[in-house]
Order: sequence, then C-alpha cells, then structure tokens
Amino acid sequence: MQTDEQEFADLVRSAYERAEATPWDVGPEQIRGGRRHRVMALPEPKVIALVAAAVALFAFGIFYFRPSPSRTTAPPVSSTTTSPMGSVAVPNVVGLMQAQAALALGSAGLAVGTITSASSTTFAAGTVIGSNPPGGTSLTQGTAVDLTVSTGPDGTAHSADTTVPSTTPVTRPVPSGQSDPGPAAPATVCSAGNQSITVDVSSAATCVRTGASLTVTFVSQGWWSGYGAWSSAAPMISNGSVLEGLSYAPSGTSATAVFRAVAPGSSVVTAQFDVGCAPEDTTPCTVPPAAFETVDVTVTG
Amino acid sequence: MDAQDDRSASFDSYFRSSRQPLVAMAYVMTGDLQVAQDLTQEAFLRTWSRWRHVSTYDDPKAWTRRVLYNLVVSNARRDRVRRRSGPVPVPVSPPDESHLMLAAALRALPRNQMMAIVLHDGAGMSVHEVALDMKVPEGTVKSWLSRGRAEAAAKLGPAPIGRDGHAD
Repeated sequence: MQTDEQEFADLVRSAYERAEATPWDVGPEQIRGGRRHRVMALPEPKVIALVAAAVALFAFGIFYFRPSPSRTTAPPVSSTTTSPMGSVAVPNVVGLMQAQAALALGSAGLAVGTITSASSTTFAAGTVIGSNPPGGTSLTQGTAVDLTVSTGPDGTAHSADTTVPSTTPVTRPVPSGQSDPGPAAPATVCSAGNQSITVDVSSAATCVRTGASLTVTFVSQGWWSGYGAWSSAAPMISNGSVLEGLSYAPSGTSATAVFRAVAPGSSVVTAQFDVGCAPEDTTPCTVPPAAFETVDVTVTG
Repeated sequence: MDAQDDRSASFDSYFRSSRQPLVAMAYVMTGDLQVAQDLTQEAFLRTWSRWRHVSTYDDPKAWTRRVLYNLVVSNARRDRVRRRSGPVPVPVSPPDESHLMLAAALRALPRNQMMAIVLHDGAGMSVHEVALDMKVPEGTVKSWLSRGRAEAAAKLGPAPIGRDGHAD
C-alpha cells in the first residue's frame, strides 16, 4: 500500500512538473482585455448536446414508427446519421449477408476493412456476426470497418435443428439516451439434455435445452464487463444466484456471458448486463451509454 | 500613475507569477493541457473582474485556485453529460493515457483530498503550507493525503509495471 501511495504521489508530481514546464503564451493583457485565447474553437457543449438530442430523437422516431414485421428476424440497417462534423454512424450490419453489409457500409460513406471468419450456430454461413467498430459508432467518412462473417456451425452450412421460431414477442427495454442495437435474442428451453450454444443478442430465435449452458455473445460497445443469468424460475436475476459467467471485452469485439437453464417450463427471464470498466483497462475508461443493456428472454417449454 | 494603471500592473505581476503553477494544477486534475489552459484562463478572467477586492486578500492565489477547482469539477460534469447524450465515443489514443486515468481517479476523490494531493504532491507545498491554505490542522492534511492517495491508487488498479505484463 505504501509503495502504491508513494507511486501515486510521484505520478502527480511528474504530471505537475511536465505542465509547469510547458510554456503558455497568454499574456496578462489578453486577460485584462477579456479576450479568450483559444487554440481550437470548441462549440458550446450545450449546442452539441442539443444537436445530438435532436438527431437521436429523429433517428429514434424513424426507427420506432417504421413498419416492423421483420423486427425479430433481421436486424434493421440503422439509418445513417450524418452529423455536422462530417462523421457518420456505422450502420448495424449484423445479420446481413456480407455483400449487403458491404453495400450498407458503402452507402454510409465507410469502407470495408478486414474480413474475419468465425463459426456460428445462429448465423447462417455468409452472414455478418459483428463489426468493429460496432453499429452506432460515429466515424469519420472513409474509415474502414472490420467485419466478422459466419462460416456456419463448425464451419459447415447452417443447420436448422437447433433453431425454432419464438412464440412470444421479445421486448428489450432501452434506457433513455441509448440507441437500440437490434432485437434481442429469444431463447427457448425445449427438453432435457446438455448442449452449449452461442447466441448473439441481435440474432433470431434460438432453442436451448434444460440444463444447457447458454453462452451469449454480444458485441461490446466499449470497455465494460458483462454478466447475466439464465433461470426458468425467477424473472429477476439481481440476487445473482444463477450467475454463471463473467467476461469483458475491448470495444467492438465479442464478449460472452454463460447462462444456465435450470428447469424446463415457461417463464420470462431477464438477463442484465452490468457495465463497468474492465480491470485491465489501461485506456481512459468511459462507460458508453449503449453498453448497459437489459435483455428480456422468454422461455417456453 | 493612476489607480487603474496600478491595478493593471499588480494584476500583471500576479498573473505572470501564478499562471504556470495554476495551469499545472489544472493539468494534474484534467489530464488535458488544452482544457487546463482554457480553464485557467477562465479562472484568471474571473479574478481580474474582481481584482479590486481579490488583490487585497492575503493570498489572491488561493482565491483563483478555488475558482479553478470549481471550474475543473463542473467542466468534468458537463463533459460527462455531453458524452451521455452524444454518440458512443470512438476510442482514440490520447497523448498520455495514464495521466488521463490518474486525473479521473483524482477527480473521483472527495474535494478536500483532491485539493491536498494537488497542492502537496503536485505543487510541492509542505504539509504545513497546505494546512494553512486549507485552514485545517496538519494532521487532517496528512490523513487526507494518505486516504486520497490510497483510494486513487487502488482505482488505478495494479501498478503500471504489472499492467504492461512485465514482471518487474
């Protein structure tokens, strides 16, 4: 502890000395003249907040009021929002075929970066599992976005036997100030047995067996950790009694949380992803608004 | 030389002697030199607008410093609000990542602990001087320093050496 404290004091001291030694070319006349000397003109934060709020409200309106028969099957390509700074929002391309995703990125003014392959039991071969940076991220035009494309389960074509359509609508409450990254994954407990399955929260319905480990894979929106629980008994997991997994991942990459279906039956399960800065995080840690998600999963059996 | 010139001259010398230390203190708390300079300038503008009174204080620097602390804290709060309402920030490499973290850990401390650390560890004031400045007994300053450093150091996680994955 002592060394930590001393180390901290030394860090403070060296930062102070560094700044004190950096010349600042503002004279007292400028202060007395009431002139603010700024190297870089920054818009008023209030203006930025207002513009962002207006854009968000508009985008949400489009998203919310559009006809949505395919809401749980295919994630929508979010409208590309062009901000005044010449930056664009990465469209949500998860679930699209690779070519469609490339088209969507192109029309948003972004380039396709590295394509990585990964096996997936929930995404048909050729569809996009994730993007880096993820959908909704603001980027300058022309920036490349990396894509992860599914090769199907174990690299083979997608088999339908583990996938059944959801019988109940899935809702995911979106806290205010957060963009909806796509529909949540409904999961269904079918029968006894043990099976591990990987589900993307933005994918379509997935069936898991009782006692199975359900590994939810989601794309991180920033440095954060996520955990969740899976239970047929209680809709609340805040007691953490069925917590099975804990993970964190850097921005734009996949993180997983393992849930366990404890009994067959029908109930509503809420998996809550708690957000915090990862312990290994050496970057300035900000918990982004979209990182806190609550996923409602309906279990029928 | 009239009163107005007198006042200007005294402010000028005050400004010249205290600007670098104040910018450095703001930098310790913000981790961003640009922001530190902007906030320090604002603090000096406010000092000048009240210079007639402030110049008669025993320690005008303490007054400007307090204004600066308030600006740093309210600026950080505004920054958070802006982040929350804007798009998810794209992670970029800032000039000095470790110091941004250090500054954030400092700002998360109770105000008195943060001030004591900035004055003592940063500006190099003795415990006695800090105690006089903050109008508390020296023992209180020592405990603020110790508690604040421990808490902030814990927030930073393992020592920087360990974080890089090197054994020593």
